[in-house]
Amino acid sequence: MAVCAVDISGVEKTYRGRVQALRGVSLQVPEGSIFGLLGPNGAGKSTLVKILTTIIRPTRCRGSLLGSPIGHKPTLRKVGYLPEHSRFPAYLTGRQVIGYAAGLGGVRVTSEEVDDLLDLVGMSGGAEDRAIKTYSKGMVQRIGLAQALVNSPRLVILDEPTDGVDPEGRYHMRNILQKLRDDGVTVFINSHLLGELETLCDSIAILKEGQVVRQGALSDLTAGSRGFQVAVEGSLPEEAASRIRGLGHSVSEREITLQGADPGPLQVVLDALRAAGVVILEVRKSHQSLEDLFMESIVEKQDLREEVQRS
Amino acid sequence: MRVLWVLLLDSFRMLRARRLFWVVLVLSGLIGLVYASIGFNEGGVSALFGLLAFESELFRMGTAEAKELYLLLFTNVIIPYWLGFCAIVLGLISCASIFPEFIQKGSIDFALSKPPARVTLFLGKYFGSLLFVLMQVLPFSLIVYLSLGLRFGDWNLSVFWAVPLVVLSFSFVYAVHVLISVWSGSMILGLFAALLVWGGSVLVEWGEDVSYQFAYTAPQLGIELDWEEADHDEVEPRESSEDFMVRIHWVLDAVRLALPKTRAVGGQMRSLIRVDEKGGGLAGKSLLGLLLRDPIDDIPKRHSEVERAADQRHPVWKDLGSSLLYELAVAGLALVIFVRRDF
Repeated sequence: MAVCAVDISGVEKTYRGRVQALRGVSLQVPEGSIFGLLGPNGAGKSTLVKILTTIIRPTRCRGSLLGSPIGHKPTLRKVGYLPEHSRFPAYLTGRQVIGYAAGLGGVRVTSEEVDDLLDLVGMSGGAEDRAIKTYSKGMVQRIGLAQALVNSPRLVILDEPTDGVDPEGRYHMRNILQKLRDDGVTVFINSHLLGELETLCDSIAILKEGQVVRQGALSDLTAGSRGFQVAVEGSLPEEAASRIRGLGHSVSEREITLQGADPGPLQVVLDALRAAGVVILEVRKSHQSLEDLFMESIVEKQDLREEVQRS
Repeated sequence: MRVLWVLLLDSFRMLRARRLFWVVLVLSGLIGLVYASIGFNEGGVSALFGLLAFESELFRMGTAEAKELYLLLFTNVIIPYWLGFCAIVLGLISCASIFPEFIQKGSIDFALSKPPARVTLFLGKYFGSLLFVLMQVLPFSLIVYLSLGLRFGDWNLSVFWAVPLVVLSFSFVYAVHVLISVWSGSMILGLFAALLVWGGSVLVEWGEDVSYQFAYTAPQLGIELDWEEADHDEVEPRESSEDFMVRIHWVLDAVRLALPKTRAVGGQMRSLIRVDEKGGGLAGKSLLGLLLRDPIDDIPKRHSEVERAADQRHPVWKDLGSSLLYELAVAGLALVIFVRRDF
């Protein structure tokens, strides 16, 4: 079994006023991977991240973060964190923010190391010596990422890291995160941008109303929905269409959809199309997108709840 | 320890970035310069480095009264009015946003996700805020120390008592602001509460002072007040007046004990400052009394004793100790809220 950077079970959080933000969340984040935490607004994502970083105390929590119990302050020396809507002291320069984070994190950094970090996040063009209050949102996020990496963390937790970052910056940030994973660092991302997570994450968890509704490796979660799509020129002759339907595949006027990752049935369909003299335009592999999976998970939960309410 | 240093450095950077800090520092420097410009020569007093001259038999170079005047200007004017009032108000305004900004979403997340304990973060921010007043009073005390040394040859380190006394005075008021702003997150509410408690405690201190004069000082000097005629008679001195005034004073004194004592800073300074080698202080001496004094007449001994007793009726340790207990309770409550809160 893979070693987990985060391994928690039964995490509950009830705020004053009896608002139940988390209802027994169990989560495993494999070490050295990129993990995405998804969920609609109010699902409890930020609460969970804040519990991991000791900003919020859980009502109940079992498990560990980098092998230590949740809430163990010294462990945070090995954790980097970029909060959502981060607000760094406005009177500090970008360079000073990194130094301040290092000081709070109990690490000593040389100016060369700070330069390297600024270079890594693309903030070495002179702006690093200007006060934070003059920065754009994207620049603040870049400095936020740099300060999260100043202690050479084993786990980086990023809450909406690309919020306000331009496309070039996002591309840049993606590369940084992939490089961190390659270096063995675990990256925990909390984001709404499903397309971005899909290209980055090795595993995900979907949170809905304080509960995990889906969790696992992204490839496993979308495996069941793999298949092939065949596009043809013109309308499909009725005889060929009914034959393919008879094989259990769905047929529209110009497209045939096959379920499953096995390419065997695809060959039969292609033979049938050629025999009918149909011109094949394109054959492509298909799989469920993260967005489809997300929506499916959310709707499933919604349906379940409505069913419970009805009964 | 390193974390505390990091937090103090951050507070210093924050102060440096505020215009008000520099304005107050420049004003402090100007007042210090005016103070340092006061000198004494054979004929009397000079000000603005000799630009103005006042003849005086009492305040001349080499007289004990000249040195007393110089010190009383510091203890009775500059400390209570500039450092003990103006600097505290400006300090409050300047530091009012520190805690509300610190606990704002996005800012507090950054700090709390780091290894230092919440207690350390709170104390670092709290003591960092006191830097504002510390950096006003420290240069000022240095100016007074150098002026005394250069003018009178008295290198009097006891003037530096002003540093902890004024900083503590500020901290007594600031603690209320911190409590309310940590609890509510509102800077305005915190400021309002601090000014309210400060005003209230100054009022109680003043009331206690006045009632003491009626209950003890006046009878001890043999003065009986005629309330109906708004006049006074000279009578045989006695320990205290009638019970009613003594009771009022007792109640106000008890209330005063529980409150922060910021008005007492001038009196504390007069008690702690050393005037001569014998360790004599300024207790019981007032600037007005010194200025209006006839150089030929000696002050009756009894008057001096009664006024000294009045000035020293609240031992410094008792005033500071009870005020510190008050601060400990208020700041402690703020700390408990800060430590237990989900941000």
